[in-house]
Amino acid sequence: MSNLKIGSILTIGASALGAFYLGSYTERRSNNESGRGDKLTRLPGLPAFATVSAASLIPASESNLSATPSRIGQIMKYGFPGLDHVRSQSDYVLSYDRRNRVPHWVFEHLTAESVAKNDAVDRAKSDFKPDESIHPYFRAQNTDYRRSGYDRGHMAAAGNHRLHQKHCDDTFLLSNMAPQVGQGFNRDAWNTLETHVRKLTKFYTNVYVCTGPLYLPHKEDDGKMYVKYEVIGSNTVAVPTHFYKVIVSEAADQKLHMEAYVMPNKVISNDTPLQVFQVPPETVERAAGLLFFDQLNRQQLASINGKKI
Amino acid sequence: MSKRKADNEMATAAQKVNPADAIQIVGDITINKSQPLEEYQKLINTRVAVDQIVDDDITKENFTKIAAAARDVIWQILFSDDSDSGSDADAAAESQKKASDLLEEYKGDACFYEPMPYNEWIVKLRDELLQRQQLDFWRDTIVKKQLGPCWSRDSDLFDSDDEPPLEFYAHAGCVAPFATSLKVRAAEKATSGDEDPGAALDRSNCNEAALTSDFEATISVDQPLIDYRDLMKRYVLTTCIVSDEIQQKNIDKIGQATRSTIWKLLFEGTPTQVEFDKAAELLQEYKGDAGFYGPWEFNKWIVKLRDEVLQREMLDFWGQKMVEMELGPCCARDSDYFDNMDEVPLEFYDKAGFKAPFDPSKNSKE
Repeated sequence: MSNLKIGSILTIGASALGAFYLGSYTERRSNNESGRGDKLTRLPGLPAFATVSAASLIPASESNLSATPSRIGQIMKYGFPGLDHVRSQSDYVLSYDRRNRVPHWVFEHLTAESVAKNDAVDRAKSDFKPDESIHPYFRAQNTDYRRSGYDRGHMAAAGNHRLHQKHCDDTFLLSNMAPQVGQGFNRDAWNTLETHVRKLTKFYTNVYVCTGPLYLPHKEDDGKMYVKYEVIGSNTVAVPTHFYKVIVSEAADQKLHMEAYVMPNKVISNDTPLQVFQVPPETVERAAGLLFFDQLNRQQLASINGKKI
Repeated sequence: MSKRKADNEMATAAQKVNPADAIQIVGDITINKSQPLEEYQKLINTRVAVDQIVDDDITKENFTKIAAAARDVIWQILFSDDSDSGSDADAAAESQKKASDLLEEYKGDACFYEPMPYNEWIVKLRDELLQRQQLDFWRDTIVKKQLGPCWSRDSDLFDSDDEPPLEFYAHAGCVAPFATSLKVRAAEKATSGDEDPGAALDRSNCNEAALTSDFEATISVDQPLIDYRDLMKRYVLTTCIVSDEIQQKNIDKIGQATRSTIWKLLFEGTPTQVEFDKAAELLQEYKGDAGFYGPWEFNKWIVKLRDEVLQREMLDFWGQKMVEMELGPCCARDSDYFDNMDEVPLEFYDKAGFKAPFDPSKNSKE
């Protein structure tokens, strides 16, 4: 009986010791092999992002269904506009504004493949869902938007993520929405801008786009400036006054082209050309309190809003 | 709040009331023919459009069930051959109205929650209506009220890339009410919130001068206040970032010019009332800015000015301007450089029989 006990203790002890030494040996070996010293230290709560130099292209066929660090590194290649409540979805990255219950910004990386019509992906199968990963205090719900007079307006557009149904579904999370005027804006002029961004993939290898809301001041009758915006629903979701898109397109010759747009959140006549809404990128940065593509020296750009630098 | 604490709170809140249990519809439901709209609305308000946080799947399932019941009752009212088709015109009209009201309400919700089942079903409803020759309902309700498929006109699940449902309406001599407006759409012109770069060139020149302090600060005796304001606007209130040191230099330069112009206005030749007025208004403006940009120079100089004024016995200027308009040293009454621990300059005004124009007892809270 006791012999049996001792035997089993010995067996367990031996295998534990063996496992420990084997483990430490393989660890040492792998350390020696990757002796380039490029092991990223993990910061608490932040995935280890690939740095700009390490950003590598992933073949488009490999559609990730969870936010892999390599995909995030790829999307965020040119820097984070801010670090407040960053969340990564399967094909876009978002910073959530808990006070206003809408995003601060969303970042997307588009290619011709990712925006191409795909029969395997059906928008009609996606539906608007509250984001369970947001604390309930700060979560927007469908009820907030219902009969508010505003659309659930995508920041990361559904049409930009057609590699996989999951990518499309992820854009329907309410954390990716902001209240937008429906007819004449979300479903029209804003949609035209989104289409324009998708068209850029026809001419450029990679298109990076950052989208978000603005709350711009305006002068009232007393001559003072005020920031005024509606809030809707029991969760008081902010209705932004304007929205921006800042876009960087990489041409095949490695040249970079930037465009920046600001559109008011109101009915815009269909015959208004998009150029009307082009603004210098720094005005968006000042208004948003964010820096876009700050890993890029603006001098490196070949053009801004179509003008040579 | 720490995440764990938040989770605990969420958990206890969930234990207290589990709204999901309260609202979940178990089994199928039906909507009665007598008051379908009211019944439908009540169901939506209690089972779908609830403010508590309920699992999205539950509200979705609830809506699916309520929508199915709504479709059933509409179909029944329109097509069941029992009571009131044809026999009694009033009753028929009334039930048609019930169907129409409910259909309109249901479509509004379908546009928001789940347009696809509606879009499929409404085609069947149309075909049935046309087959039964119920053309009044088709024209006056479905076509006129645009109760065809949800699209970007009425639902945020669609955008302008989607096909408008023109074809749906093109039956029995009807066309979609929005057919013409698809071609011509009028909407208000959008005005972008950009400021007009009118004097942009002048601005950039000024900014450049402000950055180097390279400008002439001249304030004429003819229009001193206008000149002063212009200088401030150009070289102090810049649109570019000027280092604090240079900024101070620019302010000092303008301040110096201001003081000498005031001195000229008051003490060269025999000043007229007009010149007194000009000096006073410039002094007032200058004092205001000094209170913001740094009052020390002003506070020293204003004593000299007072002494000169009193020595020349310009008692009108002293009494009506300097005392009455409170143009003495900056203090907590007019500048954020001071607070209520600082003395207010009572004795400055205590000359030639005058007293300070303010009551210090109101200022001190003792």
